Amino acid sequence: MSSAIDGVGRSAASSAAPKTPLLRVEGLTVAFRKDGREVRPVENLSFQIGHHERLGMVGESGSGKSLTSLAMLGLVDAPGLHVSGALEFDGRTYDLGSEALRRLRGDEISIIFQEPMTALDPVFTVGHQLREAIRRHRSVSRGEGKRLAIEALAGVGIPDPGRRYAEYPHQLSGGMRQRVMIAIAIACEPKLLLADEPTTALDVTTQAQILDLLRELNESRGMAIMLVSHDLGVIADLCDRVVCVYAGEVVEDASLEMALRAPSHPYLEGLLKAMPRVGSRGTQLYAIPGSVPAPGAAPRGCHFASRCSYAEDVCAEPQVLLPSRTGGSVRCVRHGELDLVGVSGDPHRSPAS
Amino acid sequence: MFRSIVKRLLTVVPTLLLASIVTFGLLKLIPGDPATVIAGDNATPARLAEIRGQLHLDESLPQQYGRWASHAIRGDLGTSLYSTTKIATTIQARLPATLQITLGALLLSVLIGIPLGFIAGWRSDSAIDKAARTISTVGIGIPNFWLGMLLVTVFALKLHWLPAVGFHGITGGLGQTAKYVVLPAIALGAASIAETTRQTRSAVLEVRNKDFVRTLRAIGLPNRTIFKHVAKNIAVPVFTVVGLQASRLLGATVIVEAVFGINGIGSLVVDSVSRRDYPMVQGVVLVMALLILFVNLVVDITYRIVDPRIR
Ligand SMILES: Nc1ncnc2c1ncn2[C@@H]1O[C@H](COP(=O)(O)OP(=O)(O)OP(=O)(O)O)[C@@H](O)[C@H]1O
Ligand code: SF4
Ligand SMILES: [Mg+2]
Repeated sequence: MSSAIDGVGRSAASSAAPKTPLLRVEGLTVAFRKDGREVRPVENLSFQIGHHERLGMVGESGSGKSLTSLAMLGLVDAPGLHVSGALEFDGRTYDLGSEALRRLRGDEISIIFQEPMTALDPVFTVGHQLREAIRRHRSVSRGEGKRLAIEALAGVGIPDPGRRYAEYPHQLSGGMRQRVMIAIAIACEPKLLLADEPTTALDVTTQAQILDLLRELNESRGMAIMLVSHDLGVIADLCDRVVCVYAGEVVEDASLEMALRAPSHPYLEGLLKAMPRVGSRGTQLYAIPGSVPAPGAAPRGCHFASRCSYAEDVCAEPQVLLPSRTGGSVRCVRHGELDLVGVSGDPHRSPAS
Repeated sequence: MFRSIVKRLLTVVPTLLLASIVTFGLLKLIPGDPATVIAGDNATPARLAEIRGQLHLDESLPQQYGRWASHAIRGDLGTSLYSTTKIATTIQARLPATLQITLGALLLSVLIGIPLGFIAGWRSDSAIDKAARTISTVGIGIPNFWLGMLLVTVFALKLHWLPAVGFHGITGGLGQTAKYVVLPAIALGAASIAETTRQTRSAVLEVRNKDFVRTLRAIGLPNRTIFKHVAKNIAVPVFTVVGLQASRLLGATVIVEAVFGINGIGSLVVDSVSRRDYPMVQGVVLVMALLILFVNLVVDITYRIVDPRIR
């Protein structure tokens, strides 16, 4: 075995399935009762994130991405929703349904959301909110807190941070607000940042800037990132590995390169086909037929069967995650026989161009 | 913020002008010859002339208004038609009792309604919330004269804890005053306590589910800090309801004053209206309008202080 092949093997393995993960989610299930029946918008979801890794979680709207990221921090608190499963972080195991996760919040794991306007308190200055986050983590005086806060604002690329410090969220642009949100989220120097559609509410230019900032934070601080988005373009821009979810289940887990070039699951293939491409302006965009089933309404076998053009009788059986040919895993009994088409060219193109 | 407060203060001027014109106009709404209406059908010509002179009915309307307003600014609201006492003096004598029970009721609304509503909203569907909801439904539905009589019967006549009727000026010490104020304030304020509880509860319920509360929890801040954020966010709706209650209470004292034998503004209005003492009614209405204007001003300024988006 030559060292070159060895090297390729190792890098492929580490990108598709990190050996000693920073975080492992095992069997995450979110359930609620509807008309006397238990439905599960997220079911038995398992995945892991490596140290310093940039993981993308992709899936159409309603596939359970937000519930997953909220559940990872014990933030699912809608009445009637029941969370179960386990989370292993840095060698310790937490019960996902318990309040024990609170210890991780704002300490080891942090989160930013889609809507930076509503995610910030409108009646306190951004400085006040940032200082609170800093002082929660470090016991510093008010004055020192202010100094650190202004420094943190500068650190996320906010010009004139001293002035911005005293401003209210409604005085900032959407991109600035998201930067503030990021500053607040990373004030505790977390090992992992969950970003739930952090750029969806922003224009394309701002979107790219925020992604750049996240990449820079990942590289300079070694902070792992889980980017949740319905937009594969955004994920392709930032991430090294992709977890594709459909109807509350992981359907494919692959390195970014493999996910883009050689998808193993028909759903991921569909998402790739639906991506707007450079030079395809004006041509009709592809869309996967149908839509994500409401929780509890998915077909009993392969949840994707009703929308899959490769569906056959075998697909009516419940599907399990299988090792894929590309070094990841896939939830499709037919994946070995299918020759799915990915996208060619540079995956790191700018999103939504 | 400072500039917007000054701006708001300036809007008081036109409002005042309007309020005074409306109040003045009250007298002009009387159909026919005001003097005859006021004095009654079988008044002597001498009495009619006297009233005409007192009201300056021979002058033009603007002249009459100018005269009335220029006196009013100096605190001179004229004289009652039935006595030689100055209207201002009478109001001055009656106002403290009304203000005391109004403020008492308002204080109860704030001290009970806001904390109760906060807890009920934060822990919706808990036992406390259910209790709070029941209490507010009862509080809003209960007629205040009935509650007043119940309170008098139980706490004054049966238990002898508190005096049944009367009023005690603040000069006699806060303790004495409080003794006389408690029961009428509860009777008057029950509905306001209930309304404040309800509105605070729904404000908390709404804010509690906002994204930023999730952010605060996500970054691991303690409940103490989260409460602070919620409190500042519900301040505007809560001040609004408290301001509304203040205006409502001022106008609602009349029945409670009757039940508790208090000589306040409420009873003064009733007496003056039934005696057709129009100048007195005019004076009282003007003073009430000023008070309500003042309350609204305070509420508006507080908005500007707590909510940066209103500045
Ligand atoms: N509190 C709740 N009660 C019941 N169902 C819920 C609740 N919250 C979410 N759901 C359902 O769970 C499913 C997954 O929701 P989730 O918000 O996680 O989707 P998502 O993948 O983040 O989609 P989006 O792109 O729209 O954000 C949806 O069908 C949604 O209707
Ligand atoms: S299991 Fe069948 S229906 Fe499901 S994705 Fe694979 S081919 Fe399509
Ligand atoms: Mg979502």
